[in-house]
Amino acid sequence: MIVCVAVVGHNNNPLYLQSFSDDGNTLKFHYIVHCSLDVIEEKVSNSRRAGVNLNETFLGLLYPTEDFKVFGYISNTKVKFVMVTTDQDSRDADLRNFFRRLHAAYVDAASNPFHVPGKRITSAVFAEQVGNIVKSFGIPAPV
Amino acid sequence: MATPPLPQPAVAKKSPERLIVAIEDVNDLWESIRGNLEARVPFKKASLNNKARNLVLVDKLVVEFVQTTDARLRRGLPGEQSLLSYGFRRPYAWLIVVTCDDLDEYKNLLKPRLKTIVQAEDHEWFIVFVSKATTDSAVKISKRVYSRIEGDFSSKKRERCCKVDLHGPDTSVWEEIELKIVECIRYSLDRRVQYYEEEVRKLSENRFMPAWNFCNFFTVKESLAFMFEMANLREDALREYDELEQIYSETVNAPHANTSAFGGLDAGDDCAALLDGTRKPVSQFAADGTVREFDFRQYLFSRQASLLFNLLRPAEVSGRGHSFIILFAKILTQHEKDLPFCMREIWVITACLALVKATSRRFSAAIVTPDTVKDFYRLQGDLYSYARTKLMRLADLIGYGHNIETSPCNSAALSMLPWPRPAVWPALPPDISRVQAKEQISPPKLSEGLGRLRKQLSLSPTVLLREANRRRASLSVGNLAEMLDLSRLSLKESPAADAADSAPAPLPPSTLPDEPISGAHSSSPEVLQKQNSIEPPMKLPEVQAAAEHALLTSISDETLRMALSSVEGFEDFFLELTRAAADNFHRSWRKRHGVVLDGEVAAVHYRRGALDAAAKLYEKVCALYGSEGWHALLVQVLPRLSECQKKLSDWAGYLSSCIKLLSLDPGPISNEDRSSIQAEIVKLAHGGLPVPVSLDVSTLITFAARGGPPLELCEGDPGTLMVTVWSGFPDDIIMDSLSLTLVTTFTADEGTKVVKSVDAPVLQPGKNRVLMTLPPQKPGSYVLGVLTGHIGQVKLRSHTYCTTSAASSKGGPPDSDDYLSNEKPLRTVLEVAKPRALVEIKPAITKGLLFGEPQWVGLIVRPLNYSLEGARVHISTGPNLQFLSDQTALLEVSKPLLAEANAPSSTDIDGMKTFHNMLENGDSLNTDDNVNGILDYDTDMPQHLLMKDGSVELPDWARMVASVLWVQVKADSDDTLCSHFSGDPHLSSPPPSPKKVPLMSPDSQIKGLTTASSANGPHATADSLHESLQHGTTGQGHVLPNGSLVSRFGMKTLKVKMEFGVSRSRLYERTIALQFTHPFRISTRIVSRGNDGRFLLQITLNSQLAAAVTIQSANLLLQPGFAHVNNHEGHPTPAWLLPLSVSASSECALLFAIRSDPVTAKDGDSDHRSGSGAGHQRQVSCLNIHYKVSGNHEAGVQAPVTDSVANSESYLKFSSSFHLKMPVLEQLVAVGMLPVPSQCPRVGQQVVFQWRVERLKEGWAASQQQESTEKTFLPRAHSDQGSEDLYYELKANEEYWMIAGRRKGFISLPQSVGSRIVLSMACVPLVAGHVHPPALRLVNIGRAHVSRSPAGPHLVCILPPAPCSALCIRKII
Repeated sequence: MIVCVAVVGHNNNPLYLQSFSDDGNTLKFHYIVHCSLDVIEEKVSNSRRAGVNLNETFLGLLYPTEDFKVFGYISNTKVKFVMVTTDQDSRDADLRNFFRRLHAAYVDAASNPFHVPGKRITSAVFAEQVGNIVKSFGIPAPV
Repeated sequence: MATPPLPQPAVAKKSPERLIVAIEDVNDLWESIRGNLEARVPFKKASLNNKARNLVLVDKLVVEFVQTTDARLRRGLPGEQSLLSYGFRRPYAWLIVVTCDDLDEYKNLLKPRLKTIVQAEDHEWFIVFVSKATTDSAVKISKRVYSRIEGDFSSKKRERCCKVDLHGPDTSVWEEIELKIVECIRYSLDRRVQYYEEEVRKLSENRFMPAWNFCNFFTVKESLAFMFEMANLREDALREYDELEQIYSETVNAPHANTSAFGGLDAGDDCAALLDGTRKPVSQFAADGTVREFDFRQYLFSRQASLLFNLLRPAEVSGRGHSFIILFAKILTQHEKDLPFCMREIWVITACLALVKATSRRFSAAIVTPDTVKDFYRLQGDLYSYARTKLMRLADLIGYGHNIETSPCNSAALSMLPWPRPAVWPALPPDISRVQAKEQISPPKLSEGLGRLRKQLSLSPTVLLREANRRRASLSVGNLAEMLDLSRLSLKESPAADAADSAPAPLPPSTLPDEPISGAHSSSPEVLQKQNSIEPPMKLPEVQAAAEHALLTSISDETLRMALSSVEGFEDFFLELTRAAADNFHRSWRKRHGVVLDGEVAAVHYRRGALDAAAKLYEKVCALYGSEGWHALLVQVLPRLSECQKKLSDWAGYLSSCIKLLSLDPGPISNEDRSSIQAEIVKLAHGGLPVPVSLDVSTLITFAARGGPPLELCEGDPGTLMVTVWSGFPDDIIMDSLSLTLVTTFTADEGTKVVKSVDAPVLQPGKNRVLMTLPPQKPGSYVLGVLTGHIGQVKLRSHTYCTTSAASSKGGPPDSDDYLSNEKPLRTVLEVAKPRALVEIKPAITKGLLFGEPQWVGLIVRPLNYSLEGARVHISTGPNLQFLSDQTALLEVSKPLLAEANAPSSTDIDGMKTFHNMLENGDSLNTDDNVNGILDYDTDMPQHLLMKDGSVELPDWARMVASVLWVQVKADSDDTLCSHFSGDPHLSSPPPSPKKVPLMSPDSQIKGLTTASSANGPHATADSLHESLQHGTTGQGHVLPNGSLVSRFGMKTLKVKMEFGVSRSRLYERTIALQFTHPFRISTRIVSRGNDGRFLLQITLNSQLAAAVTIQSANLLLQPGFAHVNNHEGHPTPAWLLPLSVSASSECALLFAIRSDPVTAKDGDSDHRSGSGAGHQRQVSCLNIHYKVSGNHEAGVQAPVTDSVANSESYLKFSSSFHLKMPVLEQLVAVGMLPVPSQCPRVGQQVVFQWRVERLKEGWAASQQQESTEKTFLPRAHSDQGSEDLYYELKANEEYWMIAGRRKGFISLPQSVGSRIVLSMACVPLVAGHVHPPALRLVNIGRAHVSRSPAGPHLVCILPPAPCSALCIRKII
């Protein structure tokens, strides 16, 4: 189950964070997402140093913990997408598809002329889209 | 293959590192060479084949020499199993040490024995022949024996012999032996590897057979690995283990795998053995035939770790270990029900710590890349923090949860980590004291002050009580009610319940009993029996006490047990782990992890009262969260920091924290809390602060100048600057003062000015407008600098470039986005211009004003981008200009047409545009207070302004536009009598007609000349008059010595003074010259003359005005001596000509027929002679014209000002006087100069000039002038009969001519017509060039009566004097 989806701006500021767990404790996801930025930076700088995978946006598993997993995705404009899931086994293709759709939703939200780049995303439509994406996670996308 | 098994597998297992070289000591010589051989161990240059059959150079190959008589090689049972298990431990080389000093002995004894040994087993052997010979003969024999041995045992392919001379000097033989040994080892190794691989392959193929046993496979595979390890081929060994692990995982996870015992139930199993492969005997696996996963996995990892350690790769051990621990923890979770209570947590903690300890001991940052170092520390941090998480879980379980900070970090770690799920929850300990102790633990007090802002986060995934009671067998339905009460009770006690309290919807009670009931029903009857009776559900302290008891009895790790046996111990251990994790994270890339854990360290410090240390660490955390905008997290830390600072009396820090709290997103903090924080700040500011505190409130208070163009001020002008201030304070905040710095741009000097607000402002939440007073500033551009507000002891500073959430979240400026504003250049708010002209006043019309009539004079007042608000114009006049100081002036907008007509300039048009924009928008000016005043103003109609004492105030609408101020003036003519000037330098006068001597000269000229040359007498007057007429210079541009130009040409001056600017501090002064004129300039001439003395007098009227003039009537009053011919009373002929319209600047002429009238002339003459003033009027003729000017002053056309409605019937009167003179009609004498005799006179050469004087008319020529010249001192002409003596005078420039003869004298001329006389005069030219010749003048004959030929002066060419021949130098060309 996906318990949290977050969008983090290129200055590492939170743009959007939605918890899908039912305990009402969103702060812990703030923490998890915030700390996962370390790993994202690490991965990005490592891959840059190694000179490989420069065009790869999907960062893969960030946190190998016992109880939950954190996956990351970074756009070309250094907007990061982070997803926390409690599923122990997720298919790579599902994850990539999930992030691609999330990215597209973000692009839609950011294209709103009333959205200030770098500010929190307050769009209800975006929240709804994210909800749909989360719900349909793991289900093969209709072609 | 018959291979004797190796005995003592356990012993061999403990020392598997060495390859064994067997020594077959045939002749008891081993001891003599042993020292030399063992000294070479380990072998330095051993090259062996690895698994891929590649030659690898192995350094430090350790071998052990074991005699074949050794028990280790003797014991053991033969068998296939043992061959696989221990075959690899058999010797890899056989060294046969022999000696022999007799050929026969060799042949008979040694050779057969050697044959037996060599053929006994299939092994790699070689023979070392030791020669102990000392004498030559012995050496010779031993050589012979050795050669026989070589011949018998060595082949061409392979040398199997080697000779050692014990007493010889050669030592290279040992190296040879070493090479031989290595060669043997290589061959053996290759063969054995091949054999084992074959076995492995066979077993792998049969892997999916039912009878397949993993243990067999493991034995073979590990043997292979051991072999590689012994041969120092550790990479290969590691690979074998990796494959083994993989195959094991596949075997275990196979769907139909037979579930054997997991293990982990032995004593001490809770303490991780992942680095200790010797804890459980591995042979047990084979013996039992089954593999316990718990032990086996740890064993595998320990083997891998030890190989990696030997490969000097401890970092890899960390990495593999971390993954292994996570994986293993998962496996433990799967088997949790079968394992002891909390086995998983304890195992993880011990495993992490063991791994960290082992790796850090072996890790050296010097031999790896920096990236690896960082990664290593990251892994260490991960391990520490993993252990820490598990420790917290245990601590929470046994009731130390109150000592764990409910931070997001801990919550994230714990709330998703399930409680232990043993099959049965541990039972209560026998002694009740533990339960009582747990009951005495009081829940933590709710934080006071700002601490209440922190959210109490849940540390537990579910309610522990429920989890525990579910796993008890004894719960029954009958206890439901009690259970409910208890759960409510305990809900309040657990930290999770604190969060639940604040949550809007706590768990509905109906959901609570469901699971316990089902749990109770699902309990197996065995368990029920075991519990023996139905017990009441446990209370939370009981649950905790039971867990504690279970843990303390089961934990075998001493450190961990100590840590869990007391709160202090736990805290110490917890702090150690947290700090270690933070330190390691700081050394890696993961700064955030490190800083967050620093916050956890700080929490422990805080709880223990080490506030200083806590505050320092909290500051780091706050800075981290604040810099990246994670406000939700910041709210969890900042209150704690502020509490520390408050307790430490760090007031500046405390206030700063309060400000930061206020500037956070409003979401996490309620409005009441925000208000109370503000009240706290204000309270502190007004008292309680020992020293003044300066606070940066950039995040809370932002400010900006008004939009639009910057305020423009002129140098020296004060002003006010409107600044918009956004306050992020929740309530109104009263400032003692508010000041702002203005920073100059582009100037290096000082550049900072402080301006203060008009009054002490009260900042309301949100947008405020504050007016700043600007003292006069230096020229330059200014941007806003720092806003400073004072509240009591507190100084609040805000920087303009910091626009943050405080502004944006509260409806701040629309462009206050963080990124945009950071990149935006600073906007200039104030432009102070350099000193320049601010206003310009120039006349709308400067010329063509009528004398004697009230005239509108327009002053164009043009502000040059400067407001003329409240300006006052003061006007005073110069001489001869009348000005009504109290009058009604007109003010109107300067029309472009008018501006173009006068001085076309773009500023005017701009001004108009600005003005019209102003009218349209009404808001483009800096202050919009007075704009309304102009909205209803009609720009077409001039505004009437009352002028008092010559000053008039400009209305507001005129402050930015060019306007024209019309005032009335009236110029007195310089000469009321004759107001006609012919001397206007700008107007051309008609050419005089020299032949027709003008019969009149303008009266004003005469008057002027008369007054000017009164000392010279009448002759001179007449002369100069004539000359001027002759030269056609009728007074053009004459500036007379006693008359100023101004008065001469009708120039009048108007002094304009303007006070403007703020408080009218600026002054503009200008003197404006106005040219007044008469409507016409007149000139007269005779156009026709009759024989009867009648003339036709033409009076040309040049219109001086720029307007059409209608001449209604004209009347010429003649002076005595003249009379109109037709007695038309002076009207021009023809009479129908009038009224006549004259266009602007054109001319017209009136004709009058007049005749000379001797009757009146005599009267006039007599009058003139009497010189009375009364008769003077009669001496001039006067032309009176009634006319009307059409047009208005705005077009530059001046009709006289009328007070009311212009009377079309009223005509203006213009009169001009002139003096008519009787024309000279007769010429009496002709004077002509005869041609100069010589061609070209030379300087110094005498020339005789001759003049011929001829009488043209009979009579006395000089007599007619007698009367007029009687007052002169001229000698009277002597006249005798028939001839007349004429007085002559020779005029010559003395610089040019030397005259030889009488200059003055009389000549006698007969009276008869045609009488002539020639006058000769010798002159000597003095200079060369064209010079005027001397002129002959007849003084006592009027000039008009003398005909001259040539008429004008002509020039005579004078050559330079002839060169002197004595000085002549011939120049050769």
